[in-house]
Amino acid sequence: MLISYKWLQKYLPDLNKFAPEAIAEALTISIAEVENIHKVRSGLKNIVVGEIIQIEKVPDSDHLNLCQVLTDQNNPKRTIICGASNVKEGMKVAVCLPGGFVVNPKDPNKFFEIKEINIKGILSSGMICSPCELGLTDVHLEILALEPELPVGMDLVPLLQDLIFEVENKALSHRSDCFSHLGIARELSAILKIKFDSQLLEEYPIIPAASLDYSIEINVPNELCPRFCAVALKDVEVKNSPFWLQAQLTAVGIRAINNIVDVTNYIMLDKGQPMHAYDYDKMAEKKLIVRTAKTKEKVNALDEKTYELNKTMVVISDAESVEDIAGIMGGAKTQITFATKNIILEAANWEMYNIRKTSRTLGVRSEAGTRFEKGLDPNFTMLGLKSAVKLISDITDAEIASTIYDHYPNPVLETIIDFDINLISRLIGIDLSKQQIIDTLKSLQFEILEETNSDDSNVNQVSQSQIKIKVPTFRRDIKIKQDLLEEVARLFGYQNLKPTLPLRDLTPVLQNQDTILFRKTQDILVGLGFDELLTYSFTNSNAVKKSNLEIKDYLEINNPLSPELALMRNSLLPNLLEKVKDNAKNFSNFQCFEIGRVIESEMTPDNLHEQPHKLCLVIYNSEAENLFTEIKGSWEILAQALNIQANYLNTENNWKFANMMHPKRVALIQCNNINLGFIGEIHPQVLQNWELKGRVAILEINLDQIIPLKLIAKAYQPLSPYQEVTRDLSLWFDRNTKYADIIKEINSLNNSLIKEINLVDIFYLPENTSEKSITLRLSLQSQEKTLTDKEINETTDNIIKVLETKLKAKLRT
Amino acid sequence: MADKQVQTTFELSKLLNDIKEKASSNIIAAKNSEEIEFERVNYLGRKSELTFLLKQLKNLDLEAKKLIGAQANQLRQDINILLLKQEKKLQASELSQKLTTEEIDITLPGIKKLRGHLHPVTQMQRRAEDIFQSMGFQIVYPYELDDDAHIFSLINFPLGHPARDNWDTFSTIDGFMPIPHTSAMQNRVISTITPPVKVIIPGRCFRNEATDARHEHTFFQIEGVYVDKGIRLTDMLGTLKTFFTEFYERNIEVKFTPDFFPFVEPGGMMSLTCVLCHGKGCKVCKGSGWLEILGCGMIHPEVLKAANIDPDVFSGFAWGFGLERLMMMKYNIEDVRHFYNGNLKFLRQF
Repeated sequence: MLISYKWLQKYLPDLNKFAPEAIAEALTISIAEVENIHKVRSGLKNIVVGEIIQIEKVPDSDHLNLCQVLTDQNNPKRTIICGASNVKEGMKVAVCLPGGFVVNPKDPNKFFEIKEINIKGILSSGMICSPCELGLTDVHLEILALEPELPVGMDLVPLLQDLIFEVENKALSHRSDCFSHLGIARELSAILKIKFDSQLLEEYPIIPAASLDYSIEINVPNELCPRFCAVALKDVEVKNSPFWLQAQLTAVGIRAINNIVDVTNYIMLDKGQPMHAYDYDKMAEKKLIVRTAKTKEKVNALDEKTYELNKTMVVISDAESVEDIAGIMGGAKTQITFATKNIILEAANWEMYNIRKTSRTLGVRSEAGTRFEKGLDPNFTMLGLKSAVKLISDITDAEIASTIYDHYPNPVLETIIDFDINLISRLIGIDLSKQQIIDTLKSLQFEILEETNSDDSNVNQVSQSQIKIKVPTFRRDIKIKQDLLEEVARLFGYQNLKPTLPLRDLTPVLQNQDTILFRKTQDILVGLGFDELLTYSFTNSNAVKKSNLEIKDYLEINNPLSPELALMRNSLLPNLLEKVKDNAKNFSNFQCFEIGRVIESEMTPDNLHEQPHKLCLVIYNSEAENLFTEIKGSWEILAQALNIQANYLNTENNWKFANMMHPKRVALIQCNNINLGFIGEIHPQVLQNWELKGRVAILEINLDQIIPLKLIAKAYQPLSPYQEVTRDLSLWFDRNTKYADIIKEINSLNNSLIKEINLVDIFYLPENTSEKSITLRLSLQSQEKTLTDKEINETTDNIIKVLETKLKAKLRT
Repeated sequence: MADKQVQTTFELSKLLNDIKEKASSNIIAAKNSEEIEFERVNYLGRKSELTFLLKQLKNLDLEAKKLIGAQANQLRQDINILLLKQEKKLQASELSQKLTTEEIDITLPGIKKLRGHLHPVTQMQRRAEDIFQSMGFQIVYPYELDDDAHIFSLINFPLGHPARDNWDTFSTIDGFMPIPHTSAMQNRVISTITPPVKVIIPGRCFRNEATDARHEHTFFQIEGVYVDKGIRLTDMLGTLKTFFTEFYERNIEVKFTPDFFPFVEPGGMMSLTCVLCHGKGCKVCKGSGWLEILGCGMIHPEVLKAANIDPDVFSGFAWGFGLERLMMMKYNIEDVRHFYNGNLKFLRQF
């Protein structure tokens, strides 16, 4: 929001005692950040009102005029050559005198100097300015005609120059009263403790001098239209606004259109009340009907667009068509043009939520909508309307042509809040006297009712601290005592607060088990050489398809930023594969991991999507032939650290990731009969889809399932003082024999001497297609004694025997 | 045997002298530890001449036995000393040999070892978590996809409230929202923990805004909630000042300026002493000496009520700040999009 320093001065006569930076700082500290201070048209110089006395053609020119212009009553006319075709004798114009500066039409932030110049042998001493050169518009037009009342020689620069505070809107979302110069001035008067001139708030009496017939129907519930006011004006001469009004509006970034539209805009920026003017003569049956729109009803709006409406939207129509989307934008047919003669001026109050919904549904943002959707005070509707009538009467010869229509079924009254001043020290942490608190609230135009007299000895302590506060109706944000706290605290100045620390007991912090698990996992993986990376929680159908996964498992976003971010991830893998592809350009092998939530379609008991934390490991290698055992080795270290005793199972055909994973190199990971996830190599087809040259091995497990398993570390084994012996056993097995089955059989012997079994070697003979040789290394040790050859041989013989009988193994000789 | 008996003491003594001479020349000629070992066996071993001679001592008369025995033992000692000396000599030369030949270029790089890297966001998250935990805050992680009630209604953003517009939310086709703020967890935290509530909520948040070097639709926020009896606005200032002072390992001043967030009253933005210029004013803080870092305020009574906490008895404060911005300032990172684009060349620098 742009706030004009000059405009504020109308309400705050003493504002000039403060530097603009001090004002900006005061606003920032106490209400909303001033993001910037702009100087408007700061380079303009020496521009005065001139009167064109005489015009002649410049000899030898088809378009140049030789103008005699009076710019000073006490000095002779000056000669100015002007190329504009709209110059007329007797016209009042803005003249830039030699040595003065005007806006550079090519760059509105730059200025150029006007010098006396010789044109076709004639000395031109000054320039007659166009609106563009004065910085009133960026559209190139002919010279600006000033209103005839302006005195010759009057300095126009002070009207054009201004300082603009750019105030951040967001901090004012709850302060509808601050979306105006009046509102900001009121705040500043309290913050800076300076006088607020309330003269401009006096209501102007409306006395009809003419008559125009029209009727108004309100066909919506009162909640949707708390107030509706209107008045007719006759014989309005629609023309350009007076110079000061154009200068003032353009200084705050509002385009000057014509005097009527400009007045409605001016009043909105001044008092905060949006309003709308209708061309009376174009109104079908001279009716204004406030109603809800019909389904698919269309409106041709002022922005030259057509909008399709629905039944929840409030509109104002005449007997034929919608002429205003209530609180948002007017209609094209009845808009004010230079041909308009008679008008109906309307000011209303609309329900904020409905306005916001309409504005969002239609995608229309307007200055009026921005104000209405914050919730305006209906007690200001009339002030707005009357101020507009007064201003139109001042600048045109229009006659008031009706009494004011006022639909205000449920007038809003002031809220009364019982306030305990001790709350200030209890919740803010500052000690202020009762008088300081009262003075602060009064400066913001709160009224203090039933102030208890502190000298009265009958009054007890409790009631001494209680005050009743009447909240002005424009402060719709003040509803409860905590709201008043903020008022006092921010005016006291947050910068004056002294930081304190809350008192707390020595109870140890409850540790989050997830934090411990995540950190342990991350640390082990980092130690194993995995880089942690984070990918978006969003993914896209392309990545999902390329990964041979099902789109239906991925929840769709209604309003994605782009198609690449249209789905919530159901697995970390599609995004990680994308990152593998990106990194494979730079690295021939790497390993990385991510821990993050995924969105499942299953719902939790409190009706949210299940969103477990998943861990995903990825190994990429452009040359390796077998990455399965590579990733399994890393996983085994992690599993051991997390006390996971994993089983590896074959996957089933209808498994969700079946098409993504290499069918011969994938396993489900189970622990205590719970599926934790899976491990394996990516399907060659998927590698092709992603145009990956190397292999990719991955692991995805659900970390949220680990803590409930309550896994505990293996009990400590006392170290044996006796020698450990190792024996290698080489046996032939059927090719399809699983290693896990071999271990299972050996473990079934329950031989306490076997401390460890390790795989040493597997080999295949080319001529033997049905068998494989496996060499195992056994570590044998007793807790009680040194093992004898006999005991060692007995153990190995038993192992050989069980493998021979159960798995048809043959000892390799 | 009879012949040998005739060997005189003189002969024997001469024999020992011969052995001594041979041994000294051979041992001195030994060039390495194997050769020394060979000489040791040769002259002192079970099959050596000396051993053979000593075995014959028993046949001599007492006087000769004494004489020759002493000479033989002396010889044995001498040979041992010779061997030892030669061994020492060889070791010394081997050592100097090693020291002269084993020179390497110490500026050669080490053998490449694999080291993983924690993501910078994780590193920063841990640091913040650790400090807050040491200050008594418990960690609770938010959901990533939550419902309207928890994201807005229960923390005082009624349906249709214009403040919702500032949160630029995404929504899913079944009516949930990727959380636009970690405050989505506030109601659950306040309603399930008996005061004092001291919780931080670190998690991912999502905003539907176009991305560029300074804006990301995904960011990492750390929310904090403190509810107890007698909690004041100044306690919030102190708590955050303490945290950031610890976080930046230098005294940080805080400044609170008003702003509007429906879930706090009073609410505002907190600025910290600019950590780059120490408050002197620089390009990053636009010359102000302050950096606006977080939104915070006293928890709105409606938020407490919605969590069944009596606002007349309890009060509290809450805040939320993003991690990425702190990191960008700390490491001079020019583009926020680096954090989630998974480029190992970026990640391996942390």
